[in-house]
Amino acid sequence: MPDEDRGFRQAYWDEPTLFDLDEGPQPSDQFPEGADHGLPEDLTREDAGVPTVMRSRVTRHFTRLAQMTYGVDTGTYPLGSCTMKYNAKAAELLAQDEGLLHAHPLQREEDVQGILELLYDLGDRLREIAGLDAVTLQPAAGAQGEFVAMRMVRAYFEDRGELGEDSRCEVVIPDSAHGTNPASAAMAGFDVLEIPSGDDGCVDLSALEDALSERTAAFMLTNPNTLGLFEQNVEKIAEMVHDVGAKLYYDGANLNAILGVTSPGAMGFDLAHFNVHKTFATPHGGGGPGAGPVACTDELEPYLPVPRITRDPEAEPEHRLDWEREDSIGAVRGFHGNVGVLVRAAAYILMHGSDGLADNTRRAVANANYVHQRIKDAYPAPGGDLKKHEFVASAADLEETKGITAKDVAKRLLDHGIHAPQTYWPMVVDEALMIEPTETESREELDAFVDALLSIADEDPETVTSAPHTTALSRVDDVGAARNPILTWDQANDE
Amino acid sequence: MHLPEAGQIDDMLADVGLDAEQLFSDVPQPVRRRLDIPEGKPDREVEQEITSTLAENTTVQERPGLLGGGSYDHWIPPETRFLSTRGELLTSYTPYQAEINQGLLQALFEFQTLSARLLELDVANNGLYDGASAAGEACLMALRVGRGTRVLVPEHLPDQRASIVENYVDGAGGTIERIPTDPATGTVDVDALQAMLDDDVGCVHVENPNALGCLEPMDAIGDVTDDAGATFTANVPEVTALGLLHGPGHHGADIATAEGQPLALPPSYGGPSLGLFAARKKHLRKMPGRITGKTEDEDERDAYCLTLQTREQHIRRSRATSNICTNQSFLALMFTVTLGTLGETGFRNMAETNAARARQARQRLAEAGAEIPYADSHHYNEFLFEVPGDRDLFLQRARERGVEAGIPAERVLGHGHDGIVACVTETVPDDAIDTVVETVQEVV
Repeated sequence: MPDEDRGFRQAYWDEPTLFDLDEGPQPSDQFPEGADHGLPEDLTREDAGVPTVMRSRVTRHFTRLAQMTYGVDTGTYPLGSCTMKYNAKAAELLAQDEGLLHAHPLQREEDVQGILELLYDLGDRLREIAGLDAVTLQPAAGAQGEFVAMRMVRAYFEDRGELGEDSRCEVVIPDSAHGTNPASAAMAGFDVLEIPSGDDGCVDLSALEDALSERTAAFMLTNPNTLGLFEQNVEKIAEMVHDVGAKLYYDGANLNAILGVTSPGAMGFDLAHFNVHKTFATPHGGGGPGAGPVACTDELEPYLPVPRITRDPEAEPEHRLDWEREDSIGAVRGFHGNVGVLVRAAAYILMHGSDGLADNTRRAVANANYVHQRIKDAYPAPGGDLKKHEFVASAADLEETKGITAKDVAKRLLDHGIHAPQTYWPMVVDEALMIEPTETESREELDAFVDALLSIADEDPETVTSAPHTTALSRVDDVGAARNPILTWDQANDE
Repeated sequence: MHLPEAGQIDDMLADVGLDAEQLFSDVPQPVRRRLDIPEGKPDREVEQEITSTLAENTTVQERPGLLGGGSYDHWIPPETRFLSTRGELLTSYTPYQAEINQGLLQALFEFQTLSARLLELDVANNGLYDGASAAGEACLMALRVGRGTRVLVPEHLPDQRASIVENYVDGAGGTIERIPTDPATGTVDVDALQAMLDDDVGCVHVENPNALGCLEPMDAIGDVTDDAGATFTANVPEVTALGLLHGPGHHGADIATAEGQPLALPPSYGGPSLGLFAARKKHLRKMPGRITGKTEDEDERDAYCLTLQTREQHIRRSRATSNICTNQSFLALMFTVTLGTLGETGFRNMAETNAARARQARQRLAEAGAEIPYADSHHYNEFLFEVPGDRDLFLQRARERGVEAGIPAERVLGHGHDGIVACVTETVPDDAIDTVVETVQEVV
């Protein structure tokens, strides 16, 4: 092992799948055998293909799998654009409250005033945080929030008779945008026009000017942008977009950089989504669930999804669900959203409050700038020297001089017990390493991360390009996985 | 929360030559805004506040009853809830770095295998937001793999779920039309469906069991859809049914989805949920969502990683098969733990218990004098019933006796229906069913 060894060794178990452990059907002690269901044989199956494994072995199986997984609870997770901050444990426990878990989404409003009150209050706070007028909590994730917003923009222009083959049919997006932006706009039915970023990494106003027309329905922007740079021309951008009659959309992925400093509404945005699993620290669960509430101006409010939660202190019950909204785009997922996740976000916002959220933002930005200053000689980051909550460093120099790629750096970081940054994205930076430390890393942790990055830059290339060495597995053949896709145990054991 | 003192942050920045006062100098003055929400509170106050707010709910444990309609209360094994607190799994991100996230990836591979087996199709993904949006993605994918723009859905598909499908397919030029319900069976009128089919029908989409609790004539729907050259997609809104019933793939569905919540966590006011998604192998590269594949590491050990990512938004951008990024992985994990704990026989017996208890309740309600509109159709754990006189008064009488007798059908369907949708799972106490029967006897 190399000199910089921090002693990290991830557990490795040569753990079979549940299907390899399958003992075949055994009597079960949980439900009676042979209940009289009365269904004919042609509708019922012989077996469902569920493996049968001793319960003790099942628990060991998933405990071992947990040991071969790395989360924020394990260590530093500077994955850019994902805001991997510490997840408040109080919020976690509140989402397991029996009063929530056993509330049914089709109960009468009278019986669910508690959860409706909590969701209404959360919506109110999100409205204020967005600096906008109305909120829906329904979208299950940020991308679904984008989709909802684009469906709303479509409905808005359709209502005004402006939607056509040559009218309000385009959504303009910077080439540095999250991939979900163009994908959401396209799924909503728009043509996507991507514009190149300027040399400073920000929106090129002349490219924007050229792209905007009466064909434009919306411009989607995240601020700070994916390079972690604040779009200082945002007021001018809002003016240009509004001048052609289009809507300005705020991608909330980077909201952790601006709380208490500015808001989407203050910057002139008409719609915005939140990623509560980023900004408000709901755990990401290995890929989800998150939640992607959307805020908008009064002008767009009629188009929000149904049902809407309403409050009237004079009425009984006080909180109701309004399904009768003629102009609404309808629904994008069942019932009322990822409620358990929203409860965690509500708790987080209550715990931190205006002072705490603003302080978190300041610390997140301070941490990113500290790391940037310390590594910029080895890993230069394009754009100005002042970053927001994240920045994109480049391993292009290392690649050129030593043949060490961004992927190699990422894999080698794992050996230090530190998760890798986002790699090869945004595509406007060569050998990109997108770094977002978040506010919940101490200076000691940041220094360990910086030291790891700097030591990798000085290491013998062979050690780096053959990394990782201390994780459960050595480098995984992802090319082979894509060439010969094996997606199920049955496929793996057929071929 | 304990954080370093503000001064330490300033010192840290000063050490690298930065001025803490200048961190936001790039934000123009005119757009500066302070937050106007209350200041933060200690954990213990927030815990009290939220717990007491949530205590205002009357939960299905406090007033048990026959509630289903797309969200189902089942026994979740203690293993599932216990393992759901594992921080490594709970606080990880999408497993981009396979070497350090093998455990999560293997569990997702196991979830895909379960999805494919339960739905009786070849391949599956890591899951989507919920059954309803997964169905929307299925219909959109159907338009992508075949011809046509018309999407046919049953009249009895709940309006909210039809609206979801419509939002998903509209951008691709898809339009929704309703297939009439056979009034005798509470299922799709297959002759009417056949009459609607033409070259412009891209997709026929149904749910099984349907929202009226009836089992659809899946083989017949599959046959006429296939004969017409359209794609057949089906959603299973109550996944425990698959412990007993065939998956949609068995009946000829090309793409199938299911709502996995019943095996992952309690209703939780409707979310988080979990959409299972499976398809025929030939459609693999048109599928939405994250996909885990099996491969090897450099030492030739079994390994798993995210694969076929060129379908996805972060690579393909506006031409991606879907915009989905964050999904419901953690629910997929919990789903896998639940089934692993139940085992084949446990799952089968659970499903049989549901079907049998619902059947018995249905018979008892009929004997007590309730009308069962689609009594001759097959059911799983849900059914429709009607009572003489004022329905809402009947439901109120039941509530006064401490039970929910079911859900007014129009709340499930979104459009007019006088009936009550009742659901009996293994968690509904016997005496709650007795009370509903007694309440029916009272009003007859």
